[in-house]
Amino acid sequence: MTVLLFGALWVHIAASVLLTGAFSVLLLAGPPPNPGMRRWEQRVLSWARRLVAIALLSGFVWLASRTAEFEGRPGAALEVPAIWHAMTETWPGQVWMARHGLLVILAAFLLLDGDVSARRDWFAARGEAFLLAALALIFLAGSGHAAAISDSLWPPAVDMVHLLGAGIWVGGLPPLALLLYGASCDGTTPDLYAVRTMRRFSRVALCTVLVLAGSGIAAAWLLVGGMAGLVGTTHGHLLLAKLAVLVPVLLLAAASRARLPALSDPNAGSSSPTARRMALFIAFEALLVLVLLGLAAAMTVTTPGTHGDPVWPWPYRLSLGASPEIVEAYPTSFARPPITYHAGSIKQGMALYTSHCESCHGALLAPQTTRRSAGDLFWLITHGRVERGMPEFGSNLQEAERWHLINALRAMSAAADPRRIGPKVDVDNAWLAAPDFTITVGPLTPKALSDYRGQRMVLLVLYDLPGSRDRMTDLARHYGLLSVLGVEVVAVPSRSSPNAIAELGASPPVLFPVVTDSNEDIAATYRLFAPGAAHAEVLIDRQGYIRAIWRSDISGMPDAAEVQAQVEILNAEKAPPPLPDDHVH
Amino acid sequence: MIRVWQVVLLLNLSLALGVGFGYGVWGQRLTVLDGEITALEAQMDQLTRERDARLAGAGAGQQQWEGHGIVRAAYPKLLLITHEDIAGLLPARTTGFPVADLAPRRAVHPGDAIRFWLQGTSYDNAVLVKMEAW
Repeated sequence: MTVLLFGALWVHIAASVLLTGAFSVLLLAGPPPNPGMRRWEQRVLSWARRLVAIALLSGFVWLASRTAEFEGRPGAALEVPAIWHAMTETWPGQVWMARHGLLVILAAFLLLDGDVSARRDWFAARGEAFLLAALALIFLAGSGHAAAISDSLWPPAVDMVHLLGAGIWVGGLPPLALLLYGASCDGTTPDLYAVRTMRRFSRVALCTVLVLAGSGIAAAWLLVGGMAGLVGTTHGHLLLAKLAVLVPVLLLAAASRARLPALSDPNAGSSSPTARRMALFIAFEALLVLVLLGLAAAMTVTTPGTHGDPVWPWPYRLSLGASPEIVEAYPTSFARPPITYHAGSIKQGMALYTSHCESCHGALLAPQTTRRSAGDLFWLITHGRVERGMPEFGSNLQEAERWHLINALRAMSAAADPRRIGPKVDVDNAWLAAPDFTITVGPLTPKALSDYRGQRMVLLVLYDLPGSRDRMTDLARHYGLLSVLGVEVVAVPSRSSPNAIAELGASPPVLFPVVTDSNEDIAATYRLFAPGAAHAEVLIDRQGYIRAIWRSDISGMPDAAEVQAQVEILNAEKAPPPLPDDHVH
Repeated sequence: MIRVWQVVLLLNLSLALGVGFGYGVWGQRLTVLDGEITALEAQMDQLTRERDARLAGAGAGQQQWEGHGIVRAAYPKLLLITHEDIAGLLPARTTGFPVADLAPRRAVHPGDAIRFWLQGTSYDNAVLVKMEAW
């Protein structure tokens, strides 16, 4: 079904682009002055009628195969209710209807063979046909990857500009080749009308190529993402192939452009052979462009590089740390971890580390572990390092377990970082991402630490009774003030207990969330940053970074004024850091 | 005989009017209809709550809301409850609800998970009339 979808899309895009180009060249040429050129115009018009029919037909095949893809069964491609549902209930279906509505209007308009002998009628007819064809083409962007990746209007707008540029330049090549060839068959010099059209097209094409380059780079930035997406995904490979085909296209265009002065030079003698050679170059250009459009269609049916899982092709990569350096790389170096940086995952990973890794690596990891990407670690854990005596774990550990292990390695590396976080906030220096965790309070709907991102700070309190009782009473008293200052207090007793709230007593009432489940996961993870068993409080800023840690065994039990002062510092911070990624990198 | 440029003008005017009229009339009408449906749904919910309140013995015009939550503090005339979303009344949060004088009280303590019912005409006068273990 994907092959059918791709084939239909290729034909549809090519027909839409050629249609737009045909009318743009007719407009550039202007009303034909003699019967020879009128014959050319009629051929272009007859070709345009066939192109509309092809665009409509391939559009229907495309819709049917897309319906089968939506429904997940090939039979749906032939079911009218399924196709109707895809047309009316999905955004791509609605865009399809709008575009094909325009194509139907264009088809009807082209079939109305009105008298265009008057200049005003001619421009109105060709201009209208160009407008309808161009609108049907650029609205393709409404259902492409660019429209799907963001709610912003910019990505589809960039795509629209790219499509219009392609329509004007690329789609104009076949009628132009036909014009030049036809105009140079009789006589020693080609028809002036053709020469003038070629010069106008050349100027427009130069601007269009610049627009295409700009919009192409912007689209690649949005959809391919970076080097890993470019060299490591099918989408990126198709883009590289597109660029490779574009090079000879541009060379042929340059060769045609270089012959332009000879075409219109009155002293050059016979210029018809030059025009025929240019027509040949342009015809070759048009053929290559069909391949380009096929690659563009293939890019449309593949996952964009930014959403794919890149397979890095080389043994080295550039590491952009504090000092950029070339480091070893593996096929999975840029793989995206499917499991978030979560306390539950980290705890499972720590248990796996103890049972599988600690006997060789010890409790502390080599410093270079921190420089490796999550994908590097995944490869090394999966395949081992035979030369260093590290066995492979691909056959012992499930894929999810290997990612848990990597999350644990990241947390352990972060905890071992020489930069320490103490009870004072280091202004404008957020670096330690807080692992996410689930906040379960009895049978209430659970929340997550990440739910507070961008909204409230979180004071995570790791406590044990009876040692922490006075501090918990103090927190209960000052909760109202902390809440007003934008802080949510999340209390985590050392053990999961359904009676955790009752154990804190009735007076003063404890109104902040007291975690009753999965406490061990949170404690095990956050004890990496606040080791020991003593009462500890971790201040997490609105962006999700750990900014201050109090440990009763080191700095004494924190008091309300001390915490409030650090909260006020964070509230006054002018440049909040960017949100940390939910996945390790 | 109508000229081609006139056909083009008419076609574009029809397209512009079609799109503009379609958006201006049907689009706007759709927004209004959406609003009306939302209002009717809210009204139906309110009528259901008023019927429930009447069945439970409340006066005319009173509504009844059902909630689930955890008791955070219990006083003779007030319960502080961290509750889930209470449809038609409050989003999930911690709220203090007055307890009706005649409400059958069971001994509740901080940390107890309860299912509770409120009656009143709005949030301002909603009182807790019944509760049970959740």
